[in-house]
Amino acid sequence: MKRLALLFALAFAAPSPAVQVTLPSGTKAEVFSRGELLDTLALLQLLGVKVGFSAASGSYVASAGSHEVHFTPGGSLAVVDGELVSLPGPVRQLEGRVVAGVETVKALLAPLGFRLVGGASGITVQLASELPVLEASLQVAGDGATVLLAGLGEKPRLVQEKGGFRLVFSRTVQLASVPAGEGVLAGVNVQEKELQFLLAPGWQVAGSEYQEGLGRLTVRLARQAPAPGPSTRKAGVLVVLDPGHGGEDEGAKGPSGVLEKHLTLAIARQVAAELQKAGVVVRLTREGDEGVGLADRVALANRLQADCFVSIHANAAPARGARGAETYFMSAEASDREAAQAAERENAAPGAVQLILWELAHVANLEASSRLALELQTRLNRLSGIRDRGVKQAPFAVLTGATMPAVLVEVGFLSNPEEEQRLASPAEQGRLAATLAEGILAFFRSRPAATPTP
Amino acid sequence: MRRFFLLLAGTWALALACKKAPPPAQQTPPPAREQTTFLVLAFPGEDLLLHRETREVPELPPTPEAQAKVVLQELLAGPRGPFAPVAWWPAEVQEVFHDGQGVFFVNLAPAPPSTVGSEGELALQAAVATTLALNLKQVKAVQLLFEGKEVATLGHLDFAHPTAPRWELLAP
Repeated sequence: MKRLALLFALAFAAPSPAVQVTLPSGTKAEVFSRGELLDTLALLQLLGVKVGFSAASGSYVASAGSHEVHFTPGGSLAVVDGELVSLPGPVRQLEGRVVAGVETVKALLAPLGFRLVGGASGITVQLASELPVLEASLQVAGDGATVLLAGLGEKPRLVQEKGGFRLVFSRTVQLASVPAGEGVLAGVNVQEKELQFLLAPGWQVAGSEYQEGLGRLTVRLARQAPAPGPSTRKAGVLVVLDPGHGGEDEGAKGPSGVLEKHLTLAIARQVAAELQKAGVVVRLTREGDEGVGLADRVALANRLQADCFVSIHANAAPARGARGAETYFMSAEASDREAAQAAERENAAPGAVQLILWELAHVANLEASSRLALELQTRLNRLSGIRDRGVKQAPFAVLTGATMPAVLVEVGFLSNPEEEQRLASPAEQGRLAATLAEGILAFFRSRPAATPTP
Repeated sequence: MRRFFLLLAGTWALALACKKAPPPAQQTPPPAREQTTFLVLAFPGEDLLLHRETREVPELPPTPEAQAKVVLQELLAGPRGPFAPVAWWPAEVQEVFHDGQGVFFVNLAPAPPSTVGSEGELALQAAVATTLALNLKQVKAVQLLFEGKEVATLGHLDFAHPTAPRWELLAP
């Protein structure tokens, strides 16, 4: 009877969560998984990678040949051959195992000479012994140009530097041919794991997009606007306005078809015009209907050392009657996380001081961000027909990493038919733009005297 | 003769007894009262706060993961009052698991086919995390997965990290 009960229990027991892994040798094995999370240590051991644990630092060291990867459960950073890198996601501890998402496992395996293909349904691990040969091309159209890089097995890190940009890979790469410069590129250097693109004077990086499925990276270039002289910059204020969404990302769509991406651009242009009248230098993260990555938007503001960053959006919610404007700034929780990551970097690599300062600057800007949010929200509340939603905090992706006061304004609800009609009206857009400009100017007027005022 | 009268009297007495005897009582036991429990669910309202609704459900399963799944199934089934659904697409809970330190992983499928505004994303994050914390004392934060994958963002908010309950958004 006992045996029968045991057989019954075995027959109806939940299947052990596992994913099938095909190893480079062709052997198949099963590795524990939960959703997309894989047992990272088990996979490394199956691949013959030596894994050690340092109780002092709480981190694991995976080594293969001359390559070493240090990673810590609970962290999103790794040290690869002595260089600090950001992982696509955190390494976690789950049910006594060390697990990570597929993309994170890919990033950990790549420096060790393995390429992981597949996902939660099945994984194949290949030896990455052959050097990838990348195809680079350049397309120029008016004041814009695009560098297209194809044949990528991983997303490279884009580093902007004076006179151009570098693409940093986890392993050595080759370039099939160097594209013609066409007055945009001054040269391309291949340096083992890096591709360095030198830009002709007057050109700068405007954004980038990685298409994983296609293994393709697009780097958009734009002619630089005439830069204000140092004296102008010191005396004035620079505001970066971010019209939400754009390109294929339409954002919210109202019941009668008003698109958020068009509305945000129209309002941002008018806010810019209002601020420029007051002597403020303004840059938009996009000038037309184009897609710009969330990280690229705030990166522009950081690079320009803007005095504030205002992302303009229109809201949508399943509650159809929801209405009114809202202004958000970064949540304390998210900021705390950034500070913790900064501390993590400090422990991981002594050369990360700049990154730490960058993070701390963001945390210090929280108070100023809340003041900016309040200046904007108070004025939006005064507009007729807008109910007070107050200032809120939330972990916005587009505000992450901003080193200046940064807020996100939702000017109203496109999901509400009445508000959609109101927001679509040019007169209302003008009123909103004037109100936002007034709030931004009031924020600068209320700042401590040491900072420039328009 | 005497025996005949005795038999007649006995038969009569028996018939009378049968006539007067109450019908036999029902022998089937009364149905056992099903054990139930009350859940508290948080749904977004037009005021963009979270509003509580209660549900009476059969006794919850023993493990926290299974309990969380039942709670979320009730939440995703939608509100009965004048509130809004938590998800803007027909999402289902595929699985729930936790790391033993208070972070509950909630795998929803399918992934959202369309974007929504900041408020829609905030309502999803806040309602799931707050509802789970209202019903399970072990819940400290919730990490949403979509079709088993961690997602950096759905367009506005950061979904790459666990979210703590948003008590400040809960209507009084």
